[in-house]
Amino acid sequence: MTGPLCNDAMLNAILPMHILFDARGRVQRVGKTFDHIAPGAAGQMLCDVVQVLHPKCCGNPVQLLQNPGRRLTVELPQEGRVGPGQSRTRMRAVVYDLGDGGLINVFFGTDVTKGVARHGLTAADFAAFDPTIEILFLIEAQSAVVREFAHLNDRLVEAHSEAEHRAITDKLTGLHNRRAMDRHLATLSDNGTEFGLMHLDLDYFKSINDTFGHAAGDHVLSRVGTILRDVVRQGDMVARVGGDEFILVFGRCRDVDLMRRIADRIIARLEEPVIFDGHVCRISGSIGITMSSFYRVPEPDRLMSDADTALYASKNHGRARYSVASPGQV
Amino acid sequence: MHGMICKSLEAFLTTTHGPLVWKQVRQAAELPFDRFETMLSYPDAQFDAAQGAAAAHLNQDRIHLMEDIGTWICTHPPLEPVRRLFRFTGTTFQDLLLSIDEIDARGRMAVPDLGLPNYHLNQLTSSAYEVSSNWCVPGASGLLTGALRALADEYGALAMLDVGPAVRLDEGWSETVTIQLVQEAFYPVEAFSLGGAI
Repeated sequence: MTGPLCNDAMLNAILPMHILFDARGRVQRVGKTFDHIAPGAAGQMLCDVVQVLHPKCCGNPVQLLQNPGRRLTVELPQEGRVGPGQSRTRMRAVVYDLGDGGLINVFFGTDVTKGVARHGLTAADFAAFDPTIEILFLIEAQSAVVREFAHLNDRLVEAHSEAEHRAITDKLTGLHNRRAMDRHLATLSDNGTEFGLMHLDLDYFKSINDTFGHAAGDHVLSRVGTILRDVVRQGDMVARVGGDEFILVFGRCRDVDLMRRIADRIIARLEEPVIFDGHVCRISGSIGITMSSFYRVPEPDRLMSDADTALYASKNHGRARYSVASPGQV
Repeated sequence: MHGMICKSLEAFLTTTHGPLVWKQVRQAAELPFDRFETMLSYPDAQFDAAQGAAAAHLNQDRIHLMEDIGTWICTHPPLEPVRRLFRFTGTTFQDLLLSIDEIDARGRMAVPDLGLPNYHLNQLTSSAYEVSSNWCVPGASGLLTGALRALADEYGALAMLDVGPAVRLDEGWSETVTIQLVQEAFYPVEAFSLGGAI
């Protein structure tokens, strides 16, 4: 033979789980990782060292060598660290005919995680180019990701049922409802965000209902919803909190003059007549305003109550106007 | 920004500084939720706001905050699975350094849209390296430095790391770390058990 020869060290580095056997089926040498997994194989008969599960044939070398290059499913009868009641690691193997004997290379299949853990293998137990380590990385990464998805799923299921509990919109006007408003105010005051609060009560609305019927009333309410959505900025909140009562919250706002201008605009728009079924419906609105910046500790309940008081001041002074609360520093 | 990265900021604050600090940080950042979810994505601006608020709260710059997070990820016991994933990157500390360019790709092997920082290794001498990074927020160099400090211990290596400043570059931040590998095997450690996760 000419050219470089493959010596033992190199065979070990390339195929650390090989078995070399002679023509009579006696194991001459095994790779270092094989010896770690199933110690003491050298000198034994091949059929005692490797049990071929598929295809059906025994460890008889003549029969084995009839399947060169074919993937075999094997177990190692002398595998170490197999506890009582545990099954052996199922492995794969390929056999090569070397003329005067042969070589079997054993490797991991789907039992790789179990086998690697059972025998405490490290990167040094695999050939440097063996992608098994990348596969183990992927298996671990994937199971971590699946775990996280399972957690997320649990929380989503929980959140979904919670959301069903508190549907947050008012069907007629498309505005938020009281529950949504309470939550929003709690979040703002929790986060320390400054805000303006407006409490609006429609004037003369009851007479529309009484005179022209509920259909007219509903039409007017939905029109009010549109107006209120128009006058607020994105991120502000409008809720219908009673039959003809509304609350508007302006986040990041400490400018009471801006609130006055918005209140004027709301009242002007509400006073534009609405035609329904040939009838001219006229309403207006009374508004109470307060600002979180009026308070040292802005508690939502306190602000709501002060905006309500200001609203009734507007009503008492002849309706169709706004009033600003004057709580003093609390 | 991937939720895994956002969550590591939150979990770092919660476990090392307490839930109250996290609450104050998320309020200062005006986050519209109580917690990040690891399997959702968030606008970069939200992570940026949380990172900025955390750095301000802890009176640190963002790079040093991320350095603490990098170390925490590799040493916090419940995060053992993540630390193990780092160990798969290289058999020795030098292997790991030479694979730094692959961190982003390796992250994507695990989670396709993870979006880890992009690192580029430049070998200066046989034992000195410079890693440049590119990320949408500042702190990539800190994150790497913190993780490498912890991993050097794991590998039993002695290395000196220095973080450079963050420079604004297009839409992101460009940073550098210099690494001096003083001794690869400074003290003996056990080989990484590939099947140790079981």
